[in-house]
Amino acid sequence: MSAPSDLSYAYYTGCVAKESTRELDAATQAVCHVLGIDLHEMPAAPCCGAGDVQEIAPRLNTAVNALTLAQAEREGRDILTICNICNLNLRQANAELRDDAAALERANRALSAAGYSYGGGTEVTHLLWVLYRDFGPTRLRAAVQRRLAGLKVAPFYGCQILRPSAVNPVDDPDNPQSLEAIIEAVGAEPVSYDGRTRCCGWPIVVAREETAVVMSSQILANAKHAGADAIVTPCPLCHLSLDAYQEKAERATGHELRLPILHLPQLVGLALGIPPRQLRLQGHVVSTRLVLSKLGLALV
Amino acid sequence: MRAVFDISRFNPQTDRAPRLQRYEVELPDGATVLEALIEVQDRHDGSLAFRRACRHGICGSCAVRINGCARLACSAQVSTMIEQAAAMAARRRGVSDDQVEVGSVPVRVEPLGNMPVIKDLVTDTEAFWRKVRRVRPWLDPADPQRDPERDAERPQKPVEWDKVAEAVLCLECGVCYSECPALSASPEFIGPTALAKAHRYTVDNRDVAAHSRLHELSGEHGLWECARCYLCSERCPKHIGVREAITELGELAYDEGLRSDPGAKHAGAFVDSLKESGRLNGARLPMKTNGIFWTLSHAATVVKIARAGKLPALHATPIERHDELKRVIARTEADEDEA
Amino acid sequence: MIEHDVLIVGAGLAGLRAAIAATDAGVDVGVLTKVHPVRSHTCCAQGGINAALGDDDSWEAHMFDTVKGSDYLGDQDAIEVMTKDAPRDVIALEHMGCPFSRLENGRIAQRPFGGAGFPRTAYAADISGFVILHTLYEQCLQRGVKFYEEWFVTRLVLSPEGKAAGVLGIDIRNGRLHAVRAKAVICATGPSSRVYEGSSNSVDCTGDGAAIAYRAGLPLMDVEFVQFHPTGLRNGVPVTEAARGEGGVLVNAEGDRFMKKYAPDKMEMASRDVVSRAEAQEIAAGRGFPGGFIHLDLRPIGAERIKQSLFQVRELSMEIAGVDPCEEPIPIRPTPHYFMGGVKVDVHGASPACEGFFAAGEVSCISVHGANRLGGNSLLDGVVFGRRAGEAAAVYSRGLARAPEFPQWALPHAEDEIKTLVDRDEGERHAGIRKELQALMLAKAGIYRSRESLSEALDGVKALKERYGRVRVDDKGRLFNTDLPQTLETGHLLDLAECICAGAMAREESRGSHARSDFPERDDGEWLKHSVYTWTADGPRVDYTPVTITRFQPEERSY
Repeated sequence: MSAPSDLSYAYYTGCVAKESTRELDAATQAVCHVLGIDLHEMPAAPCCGAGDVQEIAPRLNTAVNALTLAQAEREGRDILTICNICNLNLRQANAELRDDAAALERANRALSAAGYSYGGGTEVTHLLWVLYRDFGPTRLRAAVQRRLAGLKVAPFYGCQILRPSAVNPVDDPDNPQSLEAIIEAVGAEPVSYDGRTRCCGWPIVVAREETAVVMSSQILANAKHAGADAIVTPCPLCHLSLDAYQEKAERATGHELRLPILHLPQLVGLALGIPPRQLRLQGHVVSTRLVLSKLGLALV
Repeated sequence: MRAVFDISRFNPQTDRAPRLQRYEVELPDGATVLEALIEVQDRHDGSLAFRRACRHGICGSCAVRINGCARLACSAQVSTMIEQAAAMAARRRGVSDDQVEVGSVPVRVEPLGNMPVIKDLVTDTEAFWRKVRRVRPWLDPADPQRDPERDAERPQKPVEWDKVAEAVLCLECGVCYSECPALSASPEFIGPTALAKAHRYTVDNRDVAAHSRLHELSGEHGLWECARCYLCSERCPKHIGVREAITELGELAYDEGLRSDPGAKHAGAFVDSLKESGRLNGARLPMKTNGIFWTLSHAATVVKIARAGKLPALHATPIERHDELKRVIARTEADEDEA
Repeated sequence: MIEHDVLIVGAGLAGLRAAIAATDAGVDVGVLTKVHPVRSHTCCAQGGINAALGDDDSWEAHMFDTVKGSDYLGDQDAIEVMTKDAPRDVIALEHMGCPFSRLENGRIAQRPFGGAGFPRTAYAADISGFVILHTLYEQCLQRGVKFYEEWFVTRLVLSPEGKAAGVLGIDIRNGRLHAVRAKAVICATGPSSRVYEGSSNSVDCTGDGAAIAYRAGLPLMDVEFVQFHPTGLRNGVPVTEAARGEGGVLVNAEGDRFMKKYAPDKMEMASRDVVSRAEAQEIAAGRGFPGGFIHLDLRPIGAERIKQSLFQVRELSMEIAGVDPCEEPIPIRPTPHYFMGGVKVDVHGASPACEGFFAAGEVSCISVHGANRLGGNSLLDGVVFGRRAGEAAAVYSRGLARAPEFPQWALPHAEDEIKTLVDRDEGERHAGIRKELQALMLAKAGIYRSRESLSEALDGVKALKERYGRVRVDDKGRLFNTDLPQTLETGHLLDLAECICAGAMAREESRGSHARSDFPERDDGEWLKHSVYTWTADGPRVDYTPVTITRFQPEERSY
């Protein structure tokens, strides 16, 4: 829809970035402002269903996401997401609507009750992909004000931005590199560890907490053991799993962790010279002070 | 072509832990990793143990982890695996792909995960098969006394066959089972293979046991323990949508009224949220999923989250033009009731 | 000692079908298998299973096609049993849950196959054997059948009176040799084509059951008849005959549909031996593609149908030949594939030479396939005679108060032999001997044979046997030792190869898949008879036994 050089998007925050990870929304807006990426919020866009609605009411899931896609289409913009699960759900719905004529017809019948019709014209992308593929590490490096030299950052992709790979075309699902490229572009050092493409367990953290905590604890322990100062992730749900539940993970493994978890735009924002408070680095459960002090920064 | 492999060797009778042993082999162009293993066994070391039979991806014997990813050895091209090994090393060393010479990094071959190792690349599949048996993977028809001398075949339309056709292709190779992170974290989880098998029979129109199957699968270590990471779908050698199958089982279970599992309630809470405000009501979610006692028992976590300013509001502010969404939902539900 | 009423060796479709039948008949069953049941070679069968289901078809027509396909060497009473039973046995599979492909009206669909005058091959896309195998295994799970998985059978044990008493088998997992006693033994160990290089068979198809029966003194029959499948990919993996049945055509390097010269009526759907020989002749005449291939062009079928009903073929072509059959023809060549011969049994699967011993499936020879098997009849053979052998073995075992005497010396004697073999520190390993054998057999006892080539082959086999007598096992351990069973397998291959060469040399005619360049005609006057092989210390003794002819007198066979 939009021309490649025109980075202007319908900004789909998802639910969590407006509530439990407001720092992600703040940092995204701050970073995009600096980089000249144009964001237009979608205040009438519904929750993506998080994969849960897909599991019990698949047609409802398609219709609800079709509404979001149609709203963006009406504005003439592609959708930018900042959450792996929103990204996957919208992209899966979009693929279904484009490939299955019967599904599109069904969805449009439902949309017509609200005066919408979806023609299949919206693309859905993620901030990580925009920075890596559309904006690019070269331009990013040029925009950096403060190289994050000496900061060891472990990239954590999570699963749903890599898999299923048919719907996630940007990275090699078994050997991705987009996060590493961005970490390098901002002058930090990517840390190699076992677990960067593993599942953090968030989808079952409420229904099967013990299992989910064991899953996240292995990721945290491995990253810590490999010498990471912080983990960076493109998904707020992975963030909650690794940050808000980190103490549970500590108890599960018996190791002290105290590993700060950064949202992707927070990492980029620090390198662009955006003040930490504007990136809401105070809004974490596991304090980000260690990261900031390593960079010679304070929470101002 | 010359190829170097690091193959996991382990004899629990003599070794404390598995170790990687390096082998260098000469192979014809187009060779697969299985051919390489056979060459090692035939020419270098007859004590190397691995399973294999058909060598063309239909028997499921030769599943192993190559460069850390489970797959069938017989469908892994050695040349591709050599490239992958170099690219992964580049990532580990923090350099770009062209900085690592293709061929300079051995291809790593290890046994499947989530199973004990008997020897080398051979795993103990006892728990694996026990879980498959648990889902009663055989046809449970309405008329088991049907007589082939007297009665014709049970009817099945091509569209009904299509549903079974993808599911039936499961080789029970163990690749999805090996990779499943929920299984690693919770060894009692029934696992993706058993769920795929259950799906094959649940969607077969000739089977009438769907409800009882789904009821069993809705238990503690059943379908709701799946973490939805899609590794199973991604790695399946027959490209079966395993996670998609598990999703469908969830849908069918919910339709059957099997909603007592927290996972089912959790999903239901999202639908409620859409109707109530159009966005997730994070505060009410734990209550709806696990009930008041669980929520209260997590008071410490709640306090911690509140201190970081992350506590979701008790009432979610509706999205703008929420009635647009409500109309879409109403119409969808009405259309489905009609169908 | 482990004991069962009925002991089945092999868990492919014939073994599993026998297990179901025997269990349903109420006797106690044990199944020994050297691989997990769903890894059995049955899963490789792609095309389908024949049965005269349609109103426009008849078992008599199916019988005629089979008799003609066998080049009149098939025993017609047995073929009549098979074709008459076919409909109820195929329907029975569906009742068990087998997901056959369907017509719009919900009935089982059938496709044309080679040598058949009617489309009577029921199928499940191109994974027919795979779904049948899994269905039968699941039925065994439902019945709680006892399996001994990854056990390698080394010997058939007879009682002092010569009745089947059981087997000896190695539990591969821990290397222990066990004696397993039974009232009845059913041998269903499947294919033997790994005697040849480039075989379509799974790596472990080494004819173990045929070899151990032969060594125990039981007769083998017709093993000189080895079928070459016309369309194998470069590494032997087959492309189902169904590809031709659906409309695929064979083309030489001159772009010619050459089958019109060899089988003007049936063309690509002539019987397999005719097509394989045609391809071999075209390649020998220089009209093949580089490397010795012919092109199988599936484009006339259309991409949609290919993706629906030949999706495995498409994947294999892309993976192995680097070709998408929707876009390009597939390079194929004749490939060693199936043994018409095997352990001699009757229509109940019972051995005439050993009470209590039964066999079913490819390892057996009744004979329903004679000198050449029709596509779609192998799965049928396994299902029909697997059931019949299971039923017959159950009846037989019920007639015995106790199992026949299991000689006390059998187990310790075998343990000593194995120990001697494993302890040997010097000598060559089996793998080189096996490869040489396979290359020799393909070159000298392949599609076309002559006295000269067979004589060379026989000499070569004897020399390899001699070397094998001094073979060394690399793995001295007991834990999951695969080197020992594989070494023993090579011994089995050598015995079978010896029989093939001896029998092929003796049979001075061409019939079905046995083609003598020095005796190119079929000679009913002299050779309308089965070859029967009996072990002696000096090699196989070949005798003959008549063919049972009932409905169809031998005619000239052309397609």
